[in-house]
Amino acid sequence: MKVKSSKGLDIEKIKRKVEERKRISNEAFLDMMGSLIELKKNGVKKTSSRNR
Amino acid sequence: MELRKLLVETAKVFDKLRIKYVLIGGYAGILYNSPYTTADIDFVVVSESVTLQLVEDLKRIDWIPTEEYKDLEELRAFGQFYFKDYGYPLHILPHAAGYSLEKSVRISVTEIDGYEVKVCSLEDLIIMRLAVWTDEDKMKAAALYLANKPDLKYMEERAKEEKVLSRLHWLQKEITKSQS
Repeated sequence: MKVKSSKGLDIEKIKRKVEERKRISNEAFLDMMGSLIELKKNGVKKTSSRNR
Repeated sequence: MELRKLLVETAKVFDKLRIKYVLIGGYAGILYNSPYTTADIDFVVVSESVTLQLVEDLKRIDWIPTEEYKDLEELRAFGQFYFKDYGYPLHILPHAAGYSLEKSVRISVTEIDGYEVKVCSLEDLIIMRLAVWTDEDKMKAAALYLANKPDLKYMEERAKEEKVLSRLHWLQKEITKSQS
């Protein structure tokens, strides 16, 4: 379960992330995310074949 | 199938079946320049417009239902599917924390690969994050706020409706604090 707290935010860190993200289009970001998912999927496959 | 294409194909299924929907969650966030990735695709729908045909049509684009969904009410309460190739989840919800399509909420239309996809408004997306209020949600709400120019009047109205006005004020204070 995710924990709720009244901790403050590291706005500077978030700002940096937002600025970095601004350099990438939404399409490119989605494609990048898709590749990450595929990589993860292939990684899982490799592990299971090694176990066989 | 590429994620973008999958998103568009899913929206096409909703439109074909005349199911009123909006994209919410992390995917909607990405369309509003959020720097955070997401692990699922979430849609809020008007549950009365959902029929069991939805299951069949989603299967055709390789969404596998996690339940049999023989009972329409079960599907209308919460639909969960995963994508055949990636194991990627799709959630179809009648409402989310801080959001329902039955209210007079703003809906944006975003073109993805030439197809118009209905997306919840930026302000509603921030309100949803405030309604959940985990550290992760606060961070994502701040990122959305910083990456865009939200309509403050509409956001205040919606925050009042969803009883998260004090949380919105906290967020605004945190952002202002960093700018001074």
